[in-house]
Parts: sequence; structure tokens; C-alpha cells
Amino acid sequence: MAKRIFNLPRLDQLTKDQRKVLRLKKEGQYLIVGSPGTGKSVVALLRAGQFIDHEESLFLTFNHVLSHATNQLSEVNVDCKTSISWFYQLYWKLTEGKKETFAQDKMPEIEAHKPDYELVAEKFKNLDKDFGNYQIIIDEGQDLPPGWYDCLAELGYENFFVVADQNQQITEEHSSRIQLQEALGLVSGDVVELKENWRNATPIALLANCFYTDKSSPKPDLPNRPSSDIPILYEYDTIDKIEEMILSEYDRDPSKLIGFIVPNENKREWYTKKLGNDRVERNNSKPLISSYKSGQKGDVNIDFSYGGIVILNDKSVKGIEFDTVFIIIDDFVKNNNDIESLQKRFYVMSSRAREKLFLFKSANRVSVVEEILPTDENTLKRHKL
Amino acid sequence: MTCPSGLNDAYITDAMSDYPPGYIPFFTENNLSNAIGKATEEDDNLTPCIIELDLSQILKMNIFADIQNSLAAGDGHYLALGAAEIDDAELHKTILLQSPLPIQCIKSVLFESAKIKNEKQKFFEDDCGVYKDKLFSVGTSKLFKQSNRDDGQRSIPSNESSNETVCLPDNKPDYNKIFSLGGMLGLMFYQTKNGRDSVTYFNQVCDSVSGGYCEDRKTDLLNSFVHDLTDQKDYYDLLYTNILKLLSNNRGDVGEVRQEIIGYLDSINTSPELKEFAGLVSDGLKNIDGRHEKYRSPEDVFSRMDKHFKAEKQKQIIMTLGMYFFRDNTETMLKFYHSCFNQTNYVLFAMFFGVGSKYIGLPKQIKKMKGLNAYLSNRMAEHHHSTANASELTFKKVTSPKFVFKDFIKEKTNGESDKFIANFAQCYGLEPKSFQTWEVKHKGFACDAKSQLIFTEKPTLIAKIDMDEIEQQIIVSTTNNEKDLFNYNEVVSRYERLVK
Repeated sequence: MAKRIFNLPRLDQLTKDQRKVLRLKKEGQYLIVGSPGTGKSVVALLRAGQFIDHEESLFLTFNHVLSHATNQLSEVNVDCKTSISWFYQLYWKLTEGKKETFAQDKMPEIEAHKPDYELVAEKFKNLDKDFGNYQIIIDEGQDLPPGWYDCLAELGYENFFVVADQNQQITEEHSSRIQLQEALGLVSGDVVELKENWRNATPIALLANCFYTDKSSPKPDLPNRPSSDIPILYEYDTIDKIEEMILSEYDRDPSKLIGFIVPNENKREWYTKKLGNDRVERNNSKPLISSYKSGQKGDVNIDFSYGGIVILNDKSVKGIEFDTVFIIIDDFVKNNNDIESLQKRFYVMSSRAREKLFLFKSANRVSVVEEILPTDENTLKRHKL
Repeated sequence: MTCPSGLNDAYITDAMSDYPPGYIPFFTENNLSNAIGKATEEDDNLTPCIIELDLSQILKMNIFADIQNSLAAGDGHYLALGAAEIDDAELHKTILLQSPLPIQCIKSVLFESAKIKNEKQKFFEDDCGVYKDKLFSVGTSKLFKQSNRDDGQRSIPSNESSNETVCLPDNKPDYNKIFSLGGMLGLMFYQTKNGRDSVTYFNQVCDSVSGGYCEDRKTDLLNSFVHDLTDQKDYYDLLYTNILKLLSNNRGDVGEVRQEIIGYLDSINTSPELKEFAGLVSDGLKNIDGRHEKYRSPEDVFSRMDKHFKAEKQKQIIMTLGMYFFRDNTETMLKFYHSCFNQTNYVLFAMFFGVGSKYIGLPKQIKKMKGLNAYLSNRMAEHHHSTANASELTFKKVTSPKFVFKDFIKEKTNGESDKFIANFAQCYGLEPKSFQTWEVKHKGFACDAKSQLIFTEKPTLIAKIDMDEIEQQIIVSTTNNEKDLFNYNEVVSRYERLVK
């Protein structure tokens, strides 16, 4: 296995705005907004590194894969947790819940895994706690509802550093930028906007922008990272060609981490087995094939610090990035005729790629995704495999 | 230490912004209030620090004293001083030195509190390693909390008032070139772990940085970047030099540089022979970039290049460019092994990627190599000051770090260095049997009745090392994408522990 180049950037590689954000004091409420690739997670993690010696600092992310990637990326032991799990644990600990009386002590919920934030806020208020010294750094802050923030405010938490992107809300319960501002007690001018795309090569950002839906803010600026690797839509006739394409791409540079995004759980399982059973002799040793099932909670076995192939469905890819991304577009559906939701999903998926992006489409089927793909060859090339 | 143009968009307004470009101002210790205030002007959350200059490191210099207040500074307000004259701190409250200055000129970096000092020291050393003990210190509060009493003004002593003030000579450092040189030398030093030829190339290029020329025809391309070879008759040198310049001047992404290289190759029209070669190279690189089926495997492509190109220089150029199109990162390039590469190829790859990454982009493990940053910093500054016409700065010599294949592993070893070889071989999975033979040196012996050998004097045991063989083994062992980069510091400390 070849080690991947998976480091936090040097200060000189950051933009002037990102460097300015890193100089913000520990105390206070900060909301940092920006599109995918503007380095929100990076500044959050670098900030966490600055305060690593302070026991009162906490780093929270939305999903387990992102939490795992964050822990691996961090050069110091940041101990990243997922926001909702941590919230449940906090409640249990503060209310001194007991196993024997679990049913009455457990988190009040509106439905399974959805806390009743109003009730929780009331309980927290009565605890009369003061966590004023603590700092909470939150990645993907838009995926948490306003009630979550209100509950923490009742416990006296007042130092928040939240990074968020309204255009990447993929949860049912989420916060808009205005709601986040209100929760943090900020006015619009206090919000720091990161505008420069910093992750994707220009052609990838150009394609991702075609899926941009947020009407309240303009499309993100294109990064100044020209590349000859224009995204390609490959039309395949047999699955074996997809397999060979991905495996030979890995063999070309085994230090790269390839993300293979598939539309559903069945496909994820199937492709994981298929790629893992490759018997072709190649120049490098076999890639590490890993996967993660959405809803699997903890125990993420993906090693982001080594090259390899990671097979995921689109619900697990938020916040993480790969050197190269392959997306198989067949089987994506337009739920309730909601084209915007499909665009949002493709916006998130395509912007996961740092350097190269390839889409696959069956030659024998019509895909609903074709409706949202650009026809301009300068944005998306089309080839037959 | 550089003037603002060396820092690009990372520059944050400080006292340098009040002085002419190309110069770094230094203030006496009771004249820091303006500079400290200026350092935090751009952002309230900035932390000021004071760099204490070690003048003893500068052997020869042009120093200019600012005799007006800094805001009015401009041509005609500077006094040229000799080195001896600046010792009188009370007379010259602000002096200007030509940028860049090497790290050896920093006596200490002072912070306002131990807490800030510890944070910043950790941050710096995590990235660049330890330059010297006690580089970072806590300054007295008097230094940081000065009243604005002086404003940088001074009265000109009567014995000086009649001296003519001078115009500051232009000093326009080519930072792209200076930093590329640092990156190039850093990676070339890393490759000295490959063997004696690599050590020779490194030393030749380092010497040539402040004048001189590598005479070895075998390594013509080594001269390409240090010396401007654009007026050379050899078209291949010209082509390679131009590509290196393009690489150095570009601050963009690898993808952008690749496109520019192809554009340059396609534009070549100098001679039919070169045009044909450039066209061939360009087509090959486009195929690598476009992932054409036959060009997907770097191993196959390099083998084909090795067979196809007979002229050494052509082969070296296309292999180096091929590497740049197959690997977008210095570290993965350093770990790419191919049986058709020799030490010269590895050095040329290092040079090429180093020119692109510049000093700041070197892998951390390389920047942290013991003694390397001080040496490279000296070479970078010397290069500018020895080639810039206006400059007369020279610095105390800094010795290069020790070389594995010159200082630690030699053709003949005995005693304690054998322990090191054994340990080194074990650590890197080498086979001592295939490169080490033993010879007993004695002044005669006899055989006794029990068939035991009786030496007239105590014999000495000498190990002979087959250098070609050990070099080949170390290249194979340390150029491996499944391993970490060669850990130079660990080898040095092991040598010091076992041999000294």
C-alpha cells in the first residue's frame, strides 16, 4: 500500500481570508460560510489544532465518515466526534441517565433519532450549567437544526466556531444561514465568507457549478487551478470496463485515493465485492478496497492516509474528498419530480474530486441524470469505453 | 528573511512597507515602537515578534542608514556605511540591508510571552525542524511596550552632517529563482542517499550557485537552471533551460504547468531536429495526460522511452518530463522506482520537481533534515548576492550536512563503522554478504602443532565495501512507494551513536 499525500495545507497554501480566520481568538461566536472546496473544514481543523492543548475544545462533524477522515487528517489528536451522537451522550451524562430507567431517562424524541429540542432545552436550562469556557468547533454546521444550538446555549456554551454551507444541506433537519446567525447572535456583517474554491481543479469546479441550485447566493468563484483533466462521461457497454478503468487508474499512481460513488446500497455492496475480486496482475500490489454503509455509525474502516479505492453511496460522501472520483449515474432517481434535490446531490458528489472526475453511464439505458448534465464538451467530455 | 515581494500574498503589512523594495529595515532596540505597531496594523489578532540580527554572520555588506524618519524615506536620505560604523547603535537607529538574508543572520526571535513563544516555536519546528537551540526567546516587556518617543528620527551628528547622502542601489531579487534553487538543492540533497555520483552532483551544483560551472559533460542538464543557458548552442540545453524557467516562474497548479510545457514544446521551431524531438515529446506527454490506453502504466512508458531514445540527453529530458506528467507530487516521485533509472535520472527528477515546488514546498521530512535548512538558506542568499550587480553581501560559510555516501559509508571500513554498516543494512533490508568482503591484514604468521595460526603481530580486519552494489541496493530499498521517505535524521543519529 502506498501512502497518500494527505496532509493539512501549509499556511502559505491558504488564502489570505483563510489565514485571517485562523487568527480569530478562541472566545466568541464565529460563522464561516463557503461553497464546497473553499477550505471550511481545513480552517476548522487547523483551528482545532491550535487549541489542542486546551481541554475545553471540542470538534464536531456531521457524519461518521467525515469524523473519521478528520481524525486521520489531523496531525494532532483532535478527537473529532459526530454532532448528534455527542449531543445524545451529553444529555445522558448531564441528566445522569441510568440503564435501569433507560425508558424514562433517555433523550426525549419526536421520533426515532430526532431529539425533541424544545424539551431538551428546558431540561438543560434547569440544570443551571455553565460551559462558558468551552469552545465548540462545528463542521457542516448547516446540517444541525436551530434547536440543537439553542439547547447548547441553555448550558452556557458561548464560544462557537461554525463552518457551514447552505447549499449542501442534505438532512431534513437543518439550519439556514439566517438561522445560524440568529443562533450564534451574529449580524450578517459578522459572518466570514470564504469565496475561493481551493480544492477542485478548475474543470471539476466548472462542472460542479452546473449543479448549483442556491438562488440566494451567486455561484462560487472558479478556482485558479487549470488542468487538462476535463471531466469525462464514459458510456459503457459492460461493467468489466468500469472495473478495469478504475483499477488501472489506481495502478497508475497507487498513492491516490479514488472515490467510487454509486447510487444505492445494493450497488455499493456489489461493486465492493467485484473490485475486491480482481485477479489481473498489475505493476503495484492490489489496492485496498474499502467501503462504508450509510447508517453504519462508527467503526469506519476507510484509511484516508493510504492510496486505494473507496466505494460509497452519495449519502456518505459529504465533507470528504478524494483525489479522483468516479460516479456511476445509472439508477439515480428523481424523487417526486424534484430536480433540485438531484442537482444538490450531484453538486456534493462532483465536488468531492480534487483532481479528476469521471462519470459512467450505461449505453443501454436512459438515465434521468442526463437532464442535468451539461452538453458543452468543454465542461463535460463524452467518450465510449 | 525577505522583503515583501518574496512573500507574495502572504505578506502582511509591517515596517518594511515604509521602505524601498528590496531592502529590509532593522531598528535599534529603543526604536521599535513604530515597527511593532505597524506589525499588527492589518489585523488586531496578529502577534508581533522581534527578529534580532546577527551581524557577525555578514562578512561583507552594503549598509544604509536611514537618516530621516521612515515615512519620508526615499532617494537621497540614506547614508552608506561601512561595517565598522554600524556598531554605534545610538548613531544609526535604522539601517537597511539588501534582501534576502539567510537564516544564519537571525540571532533570535523574541516574543512577548512564554505562552506565545512556545506556540510559535512548536508551529515553526513542526514544519521546518530545529534550526538552532534558543532561536526562540521571550523578549523583555520594555522591548514590546515602548512609547512612541523616537519616531525613527535621529539628529545627524555634526561630523556626519557634511557626508553626502546616497541613492539606494536597485535590488530586485528574483525570488522565483531563489526559492526554486532552494527546492532543487533540497531534493538533490535527499537523493545523495543514492550514492557517490549523487553526492558529486550535489556538491558541484552547490559550488556553482555562487559562481562556477559543473564541468562534467555527462551532466550538462545540471547547469541548466543555476546558469542561464539560453544562449547555448546546444538546442537541447536551451529547451530544457526554458522549461525549467517556465516551471520556476509558474505559481500555479501542476495541471497548469503541464499545459504550459506542452504549449511551449508545440511552439518550438528552432531547428528541424529539435522541432521533431519537441513534437515527439509533446505527443507523448499529451498521451500520458489523456490516459490513452498504452500510456496508462508509467512502468511500461519508461521502459519504452529507455529503448527508443539512444542519445543520453534526449532520454534524460523525456524521462524527466514523463515523470512530471505521471507524478504530481514530489514525495510520490521520490518513491517511484524503475530499473532503467540511474542516479543521474534520479538527480534530474529531483531538480525538476524542486524547481517547481520551491523550498517551501519540500516535504517536511526533507526540510527537517539536520543542518539542511541553514545550508540551503545560505546557498539561496549567496546566489542572489553573488549574481546581483548592486549587491556586495557575503555571509559566513555554512557547511553542508553530512553525506551517507561520503561521510558514513566508505570503500574501506574498520572497527566501529562496521557496526554502523551492519545496523544500516539491517534497517534498510540490505544484504551485507553481497557488498561486504573482509580482509585480514597481518605481518606474517605461523601454524602451531594444533593447527592454530599464530600471528607475529595483532592482525587488523578490514571490510571492503562494493560501493556499486550497496548503492544499487539502497536505491531499490529506499525508492519504494510502499515505504516512508528515507529518514536521514535517524541515520545520522544512528551513526553518531554507533561510531562516535
